[in-house]
Amino acid sequence: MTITSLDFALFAALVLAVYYLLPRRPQNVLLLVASYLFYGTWSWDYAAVLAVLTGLDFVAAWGLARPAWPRQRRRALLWAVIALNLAALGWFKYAGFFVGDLATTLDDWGIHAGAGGLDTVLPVGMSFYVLGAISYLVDVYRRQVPPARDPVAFALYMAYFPKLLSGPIERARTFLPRLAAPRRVDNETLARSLTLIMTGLVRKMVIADPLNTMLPPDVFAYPARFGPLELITWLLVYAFALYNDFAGYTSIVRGVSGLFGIELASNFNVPYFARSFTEFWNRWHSTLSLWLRDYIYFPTSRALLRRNPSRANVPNLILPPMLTMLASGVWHGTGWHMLLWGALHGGYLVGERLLSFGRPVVPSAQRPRWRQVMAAGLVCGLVVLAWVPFRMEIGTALDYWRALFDWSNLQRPSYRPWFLLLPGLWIDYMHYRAADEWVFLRWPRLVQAALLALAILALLLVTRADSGAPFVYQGF
Amino acid sequence: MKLLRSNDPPTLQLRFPCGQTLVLAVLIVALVVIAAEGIAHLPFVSERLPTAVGSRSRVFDINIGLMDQLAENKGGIDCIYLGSSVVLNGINPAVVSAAYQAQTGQELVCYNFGVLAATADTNAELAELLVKRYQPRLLVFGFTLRALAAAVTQGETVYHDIVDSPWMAYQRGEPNLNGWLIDHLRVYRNYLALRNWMQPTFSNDLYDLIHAPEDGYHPFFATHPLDLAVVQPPFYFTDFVLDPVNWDGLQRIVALQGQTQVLLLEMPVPDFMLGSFEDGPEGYQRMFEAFRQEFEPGGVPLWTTSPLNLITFDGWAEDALHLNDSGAAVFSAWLGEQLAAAVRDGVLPAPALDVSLSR
Repeated sequence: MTITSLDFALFAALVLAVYYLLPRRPQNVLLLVASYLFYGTWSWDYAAVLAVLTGLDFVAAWGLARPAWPRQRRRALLWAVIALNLAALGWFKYAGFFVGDLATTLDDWGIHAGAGGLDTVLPVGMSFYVLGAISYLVDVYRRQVPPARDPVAFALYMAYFPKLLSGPIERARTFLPRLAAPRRVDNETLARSLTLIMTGLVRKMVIADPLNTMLPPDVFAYPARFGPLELITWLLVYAFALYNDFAGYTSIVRGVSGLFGIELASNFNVPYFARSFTEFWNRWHSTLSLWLRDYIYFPTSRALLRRNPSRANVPNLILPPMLTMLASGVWHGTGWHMLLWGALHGGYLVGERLLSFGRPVVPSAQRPRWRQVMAAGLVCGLVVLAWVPFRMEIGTALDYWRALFDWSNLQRPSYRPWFLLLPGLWIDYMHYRAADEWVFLRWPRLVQAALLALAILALLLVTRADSGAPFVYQGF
Repeated sequence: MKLLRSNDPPTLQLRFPCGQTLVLAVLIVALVVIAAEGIAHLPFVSERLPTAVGSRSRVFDINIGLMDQLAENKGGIDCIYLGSSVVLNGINPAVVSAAYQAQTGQELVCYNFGVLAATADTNAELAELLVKRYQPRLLVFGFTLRALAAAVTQGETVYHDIVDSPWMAYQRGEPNLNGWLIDHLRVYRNYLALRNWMQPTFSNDLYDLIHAPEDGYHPFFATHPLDLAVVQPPFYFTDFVLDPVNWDGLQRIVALQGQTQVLLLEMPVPDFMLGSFEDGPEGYQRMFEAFRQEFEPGGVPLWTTSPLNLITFDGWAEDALHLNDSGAAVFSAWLGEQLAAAVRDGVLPAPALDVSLSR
């Protein structure tokens, strides 16, 4: 059951109808049952994996919080449980890749080992809920959050269906209190939730899906067949399709969750308008960025600063961002090209730190306007260039970059994507200018209605067109 | 029950009125659709914008709109050529009509409704629809053994692409909203003709749509000559098995006799292909003779072409299964003359009314 399907709309409506009749505690039970039913529509095997990990993490957290246990024992338990979670994720996500690589290497040496029996399929959403579980375990170990007493609430933290497939990656310290509090869905919540759903549907179905469909089938396989202007256009199309796809998804699930009176974290905030790479990662998939910051960047940085607590600690300028972004690359997928993508972003962040080293820190917003615009253009351009290895294998990525600068083949690019890119940019600009994703709710009612009518018409038209692309981020 | 009792306030706390923006938006949508429908009916617009009916079979999808246009321009359609790609590439209505008119002096308005890969079961569905919709005087079903064979590649896919479409279901009397909207909203049909706007091939598709032939004929222009060394006879010649579903389809087409004049037409097959038939050319002709005896007593003639050697070697496409443009011209002229002769001899009723009376 996909988030944009009619089946999902009916499912959510049915759950909501029962939900509003119940007090809070049975509401959580209902949401948990609904979440597993929803996951079961994808695969009951996936649901079983989730249930096993949930049980394991719930019990382990009580051990991590035991005051009588010495720190070493608690630490050993923490690493053991994290290892089990990562092993499960690693098995499903990376086994095929590494065994495949090993088999290829052995084949090169004349040993035909094969990789039979290791055709594992990653349970959808696993990359997201495993990160949620690890953050919970670490926070309990650090005594930043008490272990969950209510197994239903904890199971719901892991499985809550609006965020199950692709996040946002919530933290137990903020999500569990929301599950314990009474909920209220009033006119304002309803308007904000429906605005999020509508914006998300437009981003996903009207902008991202058609952009993805417009991409020529061989542009990311044989880039040398295209001229640089075409390659630039299609790379922009890919970049904005990816963004609108994931931002649209997040917006929809936040809206749906809002109808249940449960707020989910915002994941995207106009990332292509960022004026630095640090700002970009605060605006793009920010729940993942914050997770990586809290559980990889900060611990690495703290460890380095303990050895040399100076601002001129060069390893501290380089290693934490590089390790963090490499981890991000590994999380996003198997393949050396993902590592290259992570290394590129690590390099961007390191470069940014080295360039500003020793200078007074001036917030981006306080710089002259022309510098902000130039910086946003540069950051956007470099981010878009980095999507090349994100999308294709290293060899093809190199071909793509090379072909971008082969100006001997100047074919006119297609103008059609701009009919979708420009409305997408307009939505972004409105959000950016008002620093508010509900800016449309402040407009006069007639204008709101006209905009909503336009969105409804656009959705009607795209649903009657030839398309049908899945959410890109469900593959991670 | 304790679980269900709580002092918490209810979750849903809406104040009324609410939803005015949504109601206003729906009203605007309705107004926009009504205005667009009005514009779509303006002659200046309707003559220029193509229509489609939302089927996954692109040829069928566009053909209905083109036929509607032809019927509107000419005041009706006299005859329809139905079949698969062998008809689509093999019968040029303009040449047939010219040959017919040369003999009878009457103009013949015909449309080639050949649908790629369609077998007899699909054609039966189409025949019933087209006869009801356009009431032609003559329905020509052109076929080779492929139309009747079992396990034909793509045959079932094309069937479902056409028959399962909401508009076709609505035409069969199965109520559905989408089919109703397609049938009643011209602006929707206009949009459906352009609904592949997001596909990479859109520019080429749009060009083809704008330049679509008004009589449905798609000539096959050979890119290289027929090479007998590389052509293999298809399995439905070497190992023909009659498919009961397709046979039933043929019976359904024949059953339309009475609502229109049905004519069965064996589409040409090269001589060397006949040799690969199980019992050779004689066995092939015996099979068509059996078909003739089955249907002619009901007033449905079957015209065979295999013994006539109408098409010379350079009239075949490189796959030897289809006629190229020059082969189609020869065959279509023959068909026009045969029709004129049959009308003159009283074998067939005149498919076209006298020009001065009908138009």
